Amino acid sequence: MNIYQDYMRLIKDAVDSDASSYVTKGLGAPASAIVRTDEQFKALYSRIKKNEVAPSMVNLSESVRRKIDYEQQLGLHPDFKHLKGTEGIEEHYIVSAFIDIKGSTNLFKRFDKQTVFLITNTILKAGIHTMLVFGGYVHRLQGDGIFVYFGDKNMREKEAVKMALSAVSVFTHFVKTDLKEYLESVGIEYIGIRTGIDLGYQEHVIWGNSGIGEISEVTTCSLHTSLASKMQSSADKNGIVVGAHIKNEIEDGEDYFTPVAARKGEKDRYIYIDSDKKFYYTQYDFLWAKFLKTLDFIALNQYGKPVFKIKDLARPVSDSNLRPIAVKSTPYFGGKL
Amino acid sequence: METYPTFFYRNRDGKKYSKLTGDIDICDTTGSYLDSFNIEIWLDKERYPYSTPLVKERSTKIQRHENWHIDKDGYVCLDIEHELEYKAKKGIQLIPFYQDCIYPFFANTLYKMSFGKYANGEYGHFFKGVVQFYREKLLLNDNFLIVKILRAILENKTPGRNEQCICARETKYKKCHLKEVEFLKSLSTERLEKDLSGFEEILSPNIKTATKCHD
Repeated sequence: MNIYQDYMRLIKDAVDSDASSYVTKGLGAPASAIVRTDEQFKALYSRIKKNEVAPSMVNLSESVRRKIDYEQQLGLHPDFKHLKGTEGIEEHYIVSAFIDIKGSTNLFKRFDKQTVFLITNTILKAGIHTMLVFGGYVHRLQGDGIFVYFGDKNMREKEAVKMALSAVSVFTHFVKTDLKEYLESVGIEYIGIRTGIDLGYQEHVIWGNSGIGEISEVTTCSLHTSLASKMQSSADKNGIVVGAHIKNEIEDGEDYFTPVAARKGEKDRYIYIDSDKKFYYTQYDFLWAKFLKTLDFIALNQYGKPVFKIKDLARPVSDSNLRPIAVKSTPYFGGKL
Repeated sequence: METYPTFFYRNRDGKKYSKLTGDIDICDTTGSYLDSFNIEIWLDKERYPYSTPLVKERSTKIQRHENWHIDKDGYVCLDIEHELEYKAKKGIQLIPFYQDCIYPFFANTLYKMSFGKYANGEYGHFFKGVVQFYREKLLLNDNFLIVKILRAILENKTPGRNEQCICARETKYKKCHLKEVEFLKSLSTERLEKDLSGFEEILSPNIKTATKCHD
């Protein structure tokens, strides 16, 4: 998807300047395991800023029409930051999403450690920026994973769920297509993501300061935050598994969700069972590729592939890029049909 | 619908046609989005896949004028009727038809909106376009031969594969005009009669002249 082109360019530049590329380019084996100068490394490292999305993602941000909060801090949702260091608690709904990038250790087999750092860091930045564009609050980074909340005091549950599903669909599409295709072309077989998402309603969620002093974070205590993490483990490669509450907030939910039991068998129908309370909580595979195609900012090309739907007004229609499709048609007029 | 879930299908119980409604998003070969047209695709429920879907442009971005190959109600002429009839005879699957016929038509319309002309030219209107189709697609330039072929088909007098070709060259039919004749044979009698009548009309002064000289 063209919104990630700046991130992809950075990853490609990192690979091109990797020590192993000296061999493939016929320049012979480098004297050192790392051949970049410090200046070159810093230039790559700082190319995508922490407090602004890459230019290619700006249009997406504008089409979602949410102001991006670059000031947010890990473990400190802005609507609950007053709870930091206090003994107060609050009840408020939250959508929790766990996104885990799988297979990045394979990068070490092929690239030097600087390159691996640049690639994984760029993927992480792309993920964080995607979440921010859709109003997410990144709560914690865990290795190659992102734990992010959606929802705040000015947003209803339904909207928060839609934002969460949109964000993870866009990011999963990027990892599954652009990133995967490129990494495979340089010999990296397995990179993918798995995501788990759930919604805890107000009566099921407590917000409070967890930990001691500065070794603490304002976080949620909720069965459904825990289940989101657990469902991430149920997901296939590049899959997203969600709880029944998420499905219930989406119109025509039957179109976009299938029980995990259909894929893994009946034993995996429920992600949580409390027999005493007769509480059986179903987990669903989210058909994100189908959902993605229905989003307002997505267009479907000739073959139904999703592309970003913003007209680049500065760029006129290109004869050479439209002609190959247009020439397949020779119109005729024979009168009223 | 999995490929294009933004299209909404209505069966329209009790009606002859079912309908799909949605946006056709025109993107170029680099994946850049250019524009959308809101369209309806009408399918004959009884005859599907052996009928040509009708396509109507609802967004009224295309001027209702024959130069844009659209009628006043918004129905577009996707291709020459001969090609459409041929495809319908073989069976039209909607997704390939959308990708290979409907989508290129709207891409070409956008091309004309941007550059003032169609990317690959266009057929002349009415019977001029039919003549052009015989010339360019069937490579039949001789109106006398066309009339002869059409009559042979309509009278069911086409030669056997190893017999002399209709064009009277010393060539076996299978190595000469078999392919063109087979295409025409797949069209309806009504279409062939209409074409025959049109070509005979073009030839009528020549026929009169030829008859005069002969007398």
